[in-house]
Amino acid sequence: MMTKLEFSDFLLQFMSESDWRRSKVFFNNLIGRRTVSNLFWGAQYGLLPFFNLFKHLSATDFQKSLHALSQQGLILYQDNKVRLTKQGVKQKQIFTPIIALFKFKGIGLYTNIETVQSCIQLAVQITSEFAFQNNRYYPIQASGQIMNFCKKWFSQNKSRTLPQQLEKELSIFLAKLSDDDANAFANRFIGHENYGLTDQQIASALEISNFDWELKKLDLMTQFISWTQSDSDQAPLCAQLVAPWLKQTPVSMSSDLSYQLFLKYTNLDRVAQLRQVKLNTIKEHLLEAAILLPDFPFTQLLPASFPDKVLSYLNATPPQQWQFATVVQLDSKISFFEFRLLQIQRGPISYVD
Amino acid sequence: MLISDSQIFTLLREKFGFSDFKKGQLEVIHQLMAAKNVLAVLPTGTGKSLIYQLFSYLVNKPIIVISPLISLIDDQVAGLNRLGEKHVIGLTSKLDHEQRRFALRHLNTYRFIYLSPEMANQPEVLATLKKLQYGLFVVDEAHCLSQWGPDFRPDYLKLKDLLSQLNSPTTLMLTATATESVRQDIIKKMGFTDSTVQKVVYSVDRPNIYLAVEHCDTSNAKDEKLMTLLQTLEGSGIIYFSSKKKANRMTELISQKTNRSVAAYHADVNLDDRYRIQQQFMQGRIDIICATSAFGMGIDKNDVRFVIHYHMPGNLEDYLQEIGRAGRDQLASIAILLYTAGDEYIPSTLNLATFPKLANIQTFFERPESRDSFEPDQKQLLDFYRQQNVSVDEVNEIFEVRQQAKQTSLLQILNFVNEEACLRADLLAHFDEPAPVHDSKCCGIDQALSAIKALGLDTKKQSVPPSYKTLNLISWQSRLTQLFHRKNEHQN
Repeated sequence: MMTKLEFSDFLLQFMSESDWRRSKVFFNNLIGRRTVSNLFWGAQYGLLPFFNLFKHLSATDFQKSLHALSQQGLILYQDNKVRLTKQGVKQKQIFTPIIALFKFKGIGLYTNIETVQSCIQLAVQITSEFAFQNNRYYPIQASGQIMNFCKKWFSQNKSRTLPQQLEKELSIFLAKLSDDDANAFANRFIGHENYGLTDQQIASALEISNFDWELKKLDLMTQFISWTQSDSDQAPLCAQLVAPWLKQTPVSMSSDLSYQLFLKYTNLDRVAQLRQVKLNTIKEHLLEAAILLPDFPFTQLLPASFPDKVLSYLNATPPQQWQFATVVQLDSKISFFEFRLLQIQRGPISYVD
Repeated sequence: MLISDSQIFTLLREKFGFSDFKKGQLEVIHQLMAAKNVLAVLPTGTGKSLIYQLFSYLVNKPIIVISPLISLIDDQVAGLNRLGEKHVIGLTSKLDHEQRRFALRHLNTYRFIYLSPEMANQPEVLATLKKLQYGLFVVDEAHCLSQWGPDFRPDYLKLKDLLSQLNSPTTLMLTATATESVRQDIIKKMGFTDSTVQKVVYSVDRPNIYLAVEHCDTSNAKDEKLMTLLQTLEGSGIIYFSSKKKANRMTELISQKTNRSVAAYHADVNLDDRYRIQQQFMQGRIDIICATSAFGMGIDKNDVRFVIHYHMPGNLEDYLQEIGRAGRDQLASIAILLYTAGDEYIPSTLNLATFPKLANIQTFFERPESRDSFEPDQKQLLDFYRQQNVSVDEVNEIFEVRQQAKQTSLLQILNFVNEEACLRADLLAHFDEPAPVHDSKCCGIDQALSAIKALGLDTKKQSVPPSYKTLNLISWQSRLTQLFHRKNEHQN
């Protein structure tokens, strides 16, 4: 029997045999804790595609998975740092091709996928009950914000043909998927007197692990979200449900504001003054933009050249292993901001598949 | 209030779809119509909510309902929505800023206002609440008022003041389980005297539920016993566990070892799946739910034939509440408590962990920066007493007394588990009720299997065809048709 993909195998994908990695960075990226340090190291470890996709992961369950990997001899785990063993490398490789099939493209940086999912589910339920002219039913429970949003969506689109329109839109999307994927996606819907299948039931029907289905489900939602963006004329109803929850940039709103002001004025002090925040905060905002945006103007913020001894150190060492303390000894003028920018410019960023 | 019974029955039929009241309901409604405050102790499954819901259509003034948990409030709101009632609001932390503002501004348009005691004490909420005239003030789960009860909630103690600030409308206190001393305590804590409250107290007994305790030597023996029981029992059932992990593990084991369809149901299951599980359970597509005790279930299913406790609850009140999910259709049902020596350590350890130790109370009171590191439940509890200006030593003493009360409750259920005579007599004695006549349909110790057969609860009957229960994926095209086409439409 083929081994099934479990959460711990997924974690192995972000570990390396050559360096010790901080387990907290894994956890913080998976639950979507947006700090420059997390994003920076998340980018180095290849975690950004999965940023914010596991909001409900508990610290306890995460620790348990690491302990289990350590007990199986797949990783070394000490002082909150992890490193793959030889056996771990082999185990990691078994699942690398499978994980590579999932293309999340850092969707969690743009939206909370769970919110979008709840909106689709609730909108389908409301429309299905409406199709059966039933207004006495238990609505699926969601946050007040989502329930309110879906109510508004319904009252704006309410018409005799709404059920057929929504069905048509969903059909266009589902027809693009493989049969198994389309069936799984559609069997999650809750509607009039038919309540769909639970995650556990779908995983058993597909004969995959619960975690594998979890990833698959996220992947299908990601595809759905992208589709509503690219085919919004074909799918106005679905696009209306998704668009308000989707940011146009992976950068947080506040950082984006600082970044746009920087592009306009190219003067950090001016930006700090305009935004009435400390200069260091602006620097943090720009670092976030540098990590997450492909066309960040590094040259505008970095010195035109560095002393030779600094360059030879940087060229001889992989960016992940650069030490600021060493660089400062070689050139006391370089700031941490510049050091980190350079590290981002030279380091691997792998969230754009 | 000049309203005839026939008008009341018309309302019952038209609004709720019932032709008759369950015991106690009409009696309480009569008392409320006479503007009497009522303490109603009605057994689980007798439709306590219907009393004030129906009454609201008689008084036509808003009704305020104090409820201890968001999940209970959500269930009530969803239930009323399902009945077509739109003028209902659950003022909970789930509302976002805009919704909350809207709700408070339009509070006078709601027929039912549900909220927790903590919410009612927020200044902005209280100020708005004070502007309305209420038809009724309902305290749901009123046993939370009593320090002698196992579910004491300190915030309930403020209800007395709230009531007087709202011009003391007629008050209905509802509970399913309250001993005589708890009843007295509820009345006192609400600021009433014995003579100003009508008591409508029905027996907590559910004679159609056979009570069974099964002693197992080891936990493996317990698992085997559970499998044998599930292979023997017919129909739907709920199994209660004290941990989510165990509920998950046993769900897997049951699905491997029996042909029953089963699902785990607890706080880790996402909201959509909880909904699907409830509905599939209602439809009979899922036979068995493995639930954690701490977790309520919103939807009533009348034909639950068995409730099994894999782990013992912490007290007899919870036990009664949980077994009360069985046999709401009044047909024969069974409650089986599985016990292995040492099981009591789980609730006992939980009890000890619930209350902060003296050193922690001191830290909390003296070092404000430490407060965020406390568990939310403990933080709420400690905040309550701090705001009441209770000293550290007094708080510590309160906790010690509460802890002792919880340990006493645990000993009482342990005595029940180790009872050698009539289990029902033991259970009812706890609620100050006389022993019933013991017969073959009453209870039994270590004879659940033969009782199941004697009660006709075994699998000899024609069961639902397995094909109905197979939960396979259907094609997406058929699924969309199911969702959006009425039957007559796709026949055309």
